[in-house]
Amino acid sequence: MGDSSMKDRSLFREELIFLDIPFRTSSEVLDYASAELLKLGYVREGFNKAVKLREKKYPTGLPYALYNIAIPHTDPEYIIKPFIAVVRPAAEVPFVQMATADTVLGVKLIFVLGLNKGEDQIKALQALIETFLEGKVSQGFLLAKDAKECMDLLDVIQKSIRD
Amino acid sequence: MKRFIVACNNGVATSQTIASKVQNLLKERGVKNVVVEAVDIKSIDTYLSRAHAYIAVIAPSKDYGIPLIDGVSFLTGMNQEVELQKLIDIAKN
Repeated sequence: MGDSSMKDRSLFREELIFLDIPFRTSSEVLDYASAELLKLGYVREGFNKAVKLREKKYPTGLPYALYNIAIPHTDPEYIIKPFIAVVRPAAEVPFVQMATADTVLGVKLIFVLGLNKGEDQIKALQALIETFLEGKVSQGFLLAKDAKECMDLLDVIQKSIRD
Repeated sequence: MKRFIVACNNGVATSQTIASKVQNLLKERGVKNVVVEAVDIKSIDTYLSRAHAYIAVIAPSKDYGIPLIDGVSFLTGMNQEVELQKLIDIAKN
């Protein structure tokens, strides 16, 4: 459709999709993503420390039928430009399940959320969650060859937010 | 009017998503006399006295004195129907 203003409002960006990097721990995932986000101007200094601290205190691992995901995030004050970054590690990374003290999940896909209070952003997170709940495109994320293919899948989610 | 609260660290992402979802699910089931609010965990005590259920997305640190609902079920779909029914029952009483 070529509506570039819609793309500008999209939280998903090709430059924020990181595929097949080996990480051993959730901290390594967050260190990597934070460095990229800082470099590309999406977050402020302090984001990395804050997101790791929050993940430790309020873990974000979520189990779904096909595979587990995590949605680490932190306070809006660290966000310069809203985003949702996607990390698909080379192998499962352990994250603690949300609302538990120590239930560990092997996570295949991490969505680092950079949301502030905008209504659109809450809708985006809801659309993302619904997508996983319904099992749509889930398999696609595991099989996507590159960031561009992921963006096509994410467009499906982005479009459902417009409704 | 019944009030249900969802609390997380800054009331932005997860708790708002769940609050919105629960509100929609209840509306779909014809339950209208309910307000579902996302609040910051730091101010939860002020909200508890006027709430009829607490939908948790973080491990509870104490007994809140009101029914505790598993908020994560609304994100994963696992057990969602059971937790939703608990809220419907509270709303209808």
